[in-house]
Amino acid sequence: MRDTPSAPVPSPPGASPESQFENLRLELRRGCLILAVLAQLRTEQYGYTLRTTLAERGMEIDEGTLYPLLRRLESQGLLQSEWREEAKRSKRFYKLSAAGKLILKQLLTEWKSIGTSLDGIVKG
Amino acid sequence: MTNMTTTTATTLLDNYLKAVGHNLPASQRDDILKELAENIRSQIEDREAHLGRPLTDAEMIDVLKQHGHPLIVAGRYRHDDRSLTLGRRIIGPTLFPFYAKVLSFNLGVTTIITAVVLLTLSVCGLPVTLRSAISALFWQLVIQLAIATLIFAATDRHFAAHPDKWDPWRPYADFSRFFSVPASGNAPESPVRVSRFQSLARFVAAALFLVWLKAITHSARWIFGGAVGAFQVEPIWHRVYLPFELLIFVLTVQAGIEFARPDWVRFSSAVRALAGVTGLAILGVVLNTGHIIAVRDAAATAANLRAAHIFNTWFFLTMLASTVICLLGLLSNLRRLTRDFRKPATPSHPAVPAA
Repeated sequence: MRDTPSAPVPSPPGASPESQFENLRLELRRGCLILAVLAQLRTEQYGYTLRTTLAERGMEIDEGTLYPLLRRLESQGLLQSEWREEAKRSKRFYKLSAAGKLILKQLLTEWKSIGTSLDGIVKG
Repeated sequence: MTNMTTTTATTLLDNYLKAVGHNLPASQRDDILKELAENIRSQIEDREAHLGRPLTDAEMIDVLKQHGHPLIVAGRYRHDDRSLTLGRRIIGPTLFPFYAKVLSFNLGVTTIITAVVLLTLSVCGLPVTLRSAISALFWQLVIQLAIATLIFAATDRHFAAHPDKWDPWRPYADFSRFFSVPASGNAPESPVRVSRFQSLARFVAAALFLVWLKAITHSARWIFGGAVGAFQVEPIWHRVYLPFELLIFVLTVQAGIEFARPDWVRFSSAVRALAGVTGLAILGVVLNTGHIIAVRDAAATAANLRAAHIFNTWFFLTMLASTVICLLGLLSNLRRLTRDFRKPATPSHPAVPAA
């Protein structure tokens, strides 16, 4: 399942149910991307392996979305990175910063709270 | 199915990275490109290991297309989400920074010119009301705003409708269909260097200037407001107007061609160098005369003569500064042209069918 990098575009009136579902699905997943990236970066990784790991776990993200997102999270102080050699090539490794750990903890609490609330609402 | 040589893969990747790099903030460009290149190389190696053979041309192109159009990718790294929305999106974040740049430049220059003229009239004691000042400025700004918005909105629409229609052999030439220019049979190995957005910005700026020039020639009231009856242009204006208008027209067309065919680097440099020579010749004639505005006989009051003197002094200084800028531009284009012609011819690759 791939995410579309562009901003959510509301379905125009008269859009097909498939297209409406696709837009809403992408919007729903977009909100979870940051959580998934932060959680995965509790272990240090570089861009490409992070993407493949997320994909293996069912959270596929376009390259064009993930790499700029990593930089944005780093500029916000949630990630830290360093260039290091691996297999004779220089790669930029990212990991969660102290501030990122705190935010991740808060986001996970929020995520669980949303899940519980939604469960209750859906079950009626 | 053709397996890709290392050189070919490197060329495709280099062209892609250069296309992305052209639109990245200069302060982060090298770092972003280094990381992007590394991630793409890892992806290629991963695929090759999985397949047990080198990637084919089509598979390599697929990898790059999966990353996205260079302009969109660069836009995401800019983290600039500004866009123009009137009910629905008119100009998206990818094009908006260029739209804002063109508008700020054109509207800024127009406002400064009009403000200087009206201030001079006011200082010389000529009747300048707030209403006439606003009226003089308003339509100039509205027309420029409308034209720039229309051009950028059309480009944005095309871009949004065909995000995948770009050729990784020539990552700048994705708008060739838009301008009905068929893709050439061969793609250059050397990277193209003219930024498509710079060409678009130059095209819009030159087109707007052309419209503005026509408008003020048709109605000098837009510049002089209520004092228009007191002044007239010197004969020198009529001598240089047509060559000057033609020069701006040629520059507009050149920017349009450059936008459609950014790989025509020599053509662009040659036209700009020629335009520089023509521009210098026109400026030489104007500077030799030094006057552009005269007071009509029937309105030859001390205040009007003083206003005309200030206009002409200001005009002379502006033309002098323009001459220096034009000369520097000409030297830069001639240097680029000489350097390009000294380069040996490069081999080419077969073009990739459109997506």
